[in-house]
Amino acid sequence: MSARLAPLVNDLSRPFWDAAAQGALSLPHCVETGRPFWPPSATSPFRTAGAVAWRAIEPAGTLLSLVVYRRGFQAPLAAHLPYGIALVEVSPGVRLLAHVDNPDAAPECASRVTLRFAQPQWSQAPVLTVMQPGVQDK
Amino acid sequence: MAFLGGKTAIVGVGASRFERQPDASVLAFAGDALNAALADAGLDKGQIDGLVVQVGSPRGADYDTVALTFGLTPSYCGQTWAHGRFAASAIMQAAMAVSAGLATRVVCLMAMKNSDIGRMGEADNPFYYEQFRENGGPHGEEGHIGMSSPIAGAAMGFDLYCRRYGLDRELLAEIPLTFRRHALLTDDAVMRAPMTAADYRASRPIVDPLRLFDCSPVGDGAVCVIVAAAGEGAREVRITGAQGMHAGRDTFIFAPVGLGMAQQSDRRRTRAEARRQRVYEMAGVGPDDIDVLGLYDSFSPLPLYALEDFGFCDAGDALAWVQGGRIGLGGALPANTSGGQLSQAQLNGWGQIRELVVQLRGEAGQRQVANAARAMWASVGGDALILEGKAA
Repeated sequence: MSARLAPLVNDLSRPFWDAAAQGALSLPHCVETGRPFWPPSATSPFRTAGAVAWRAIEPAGTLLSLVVYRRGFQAPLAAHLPYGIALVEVSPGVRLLAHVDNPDAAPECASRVTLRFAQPQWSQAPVLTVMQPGVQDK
Repeated sequence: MAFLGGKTAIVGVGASRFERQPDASVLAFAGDALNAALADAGLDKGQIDGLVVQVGSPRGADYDTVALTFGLTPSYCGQTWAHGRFAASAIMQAAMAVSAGLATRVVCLMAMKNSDIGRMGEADNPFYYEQFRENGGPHGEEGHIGMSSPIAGAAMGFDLYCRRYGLDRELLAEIPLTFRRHALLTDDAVMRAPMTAADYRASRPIVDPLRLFDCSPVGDGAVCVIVAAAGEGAREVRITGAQGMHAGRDTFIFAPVGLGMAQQSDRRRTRAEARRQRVYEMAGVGPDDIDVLGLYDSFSPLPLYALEDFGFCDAGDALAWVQGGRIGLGGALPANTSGGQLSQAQLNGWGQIRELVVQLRGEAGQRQVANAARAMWASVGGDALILEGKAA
C-alpha cells in the first residue's frame, strides 16, 4: 500500500486533474442550463442525458463550514494534526471540500476565501487548499 | 398503497451479547441471535424459507454462509450492502417477499464484528478504500485531501446545522445523556457507566465539533428479526407503515434534507410535507400518534435530523425540542429506550427496532413505556417503519 493518499483518476475525472496540475479549477457544466455541478458526470444531473462541457471557474468561494481533525485516521497525515476540512461554495449550489493547513488561523465562516492546488508530500494528487496568507504548507 | 401495510408482522426477535469479543467468530453471534429469535417466535429452523442479511463479509457473514452454517434452506435470499442504514430496508424486503408470495417466514439478520479491525478510515479496516470511492465516499469522504472516516461527514453536517440556525453546540449533550440513562436500565447495553454533562464536555475531541461521546462505540454482535404474514403469532407486532431509503442530490447521509451540505439545496422540508410522507400515509397515522421512537444514532446529531425530516418538529427546532427530557423515558415521546447505538451497542439500528418490538409487546420491564401501542423507526436516511402491537 502506498504511503501517499491517492484519489481514483480516470477518463471521467481527468479534466479536473489535468486542470489542477496547471493550478486551475475546472468543473463540469450542464450545456443546456449552463450550470456547473459536482461530482463529475458524463451527462448532466439536471437534464436527462444532457450534454456536459468542462470549464474553468475562479478558484474562490464562500467558506460555509470547517471541521477540525484532532484524531488522525490516515497514517500519511498523522504528523499534520490538527488540520481542517472546509466546505466551500464555489458557485451557487456547488460546494467543494478543501484542506485547511492551520485551522487555528482559518478564515471565519461566511467569509470569501481563495483556493489553490497544493502538492503536499502526503498526497499523490494536487490538494484543493484554502489559501492562508503567511501559513506554510505542513 | 395498502399493498404492504398491516399484511406482515415481526413474529420473533433475538440478539447475541454485544461485548467486544476479538477471539470469537461472527458466526457465533449470528447463531445466538438466530436461535434466540426462533425460540422467541416458537419456530423451528425448518419453517424458515426466506433470509435477508445485512452487512455480510468481511465484517459479517454473507447469506450463503449463514444458510450453510446453520442448516437453513431458504428459497428467497437477499443481502444489503455492508453499512448501517439498511436495517429497515432489510425488514421491508422481507415484508415485501412475504406479501408477494415469495416466502412465508423470513429471517432478517444483522451480524458484524469490528473488534479485530481498525476504525473506518484506517488502513487496517476493510473499508479503507471507501474514502477514495469514485465521486466521494459514503459519508462524504474525500481521502486524498484528508477527509476520511464517517465522523467527519457527521461533524460537518452538525457544524453547518448549528451555523444555519444559530444554535449552541453544547445543547447536543441532551442526546447522549438521555440514551445513556436508558442504557443504565438495559442489561445488554455495553455503555453502562453513568455519564454526566461534565463527562460529556470533557470527552476527547475527535473531529470538531464532535467528541468521543458523540460516537457510537463500534463493537460486535448480532440481531435477528423474523417476518411472517400477520395473524399467525400471539405476540406479533404488525408492520403497518414502511418507507424506503431516500437518495439524490438533496440528501446527505448525515444531514437533514435540504440543509445545504455537499450538493444539497437550501430548501428544508416543511412540517406539512414531512407529515405527508408515504410511511404515515400507509399506516394511516401521523407523528402525533406515535408512542415510542427508534432513531438512527451512530453519531449524536443524527436523531435531530430524523425528528425534523419526519415532522415531529419544525426544521431547525429539534435541538430545543429534545431538551428537558422530552425523548427520555417518562417524557412525552421516549426514543431509543434501550440506549440506542450511542450506549446500548452500535448495531446499525437493529437494536432499536428490536427494542420497539419488545416495547409494543409490553415486555420492556423497567424501561416499559406505559400503554405503548404504536412505534416508529425513523432514520436520517429517509427510511422508516411504523409498528403496531396488539394494543393499537
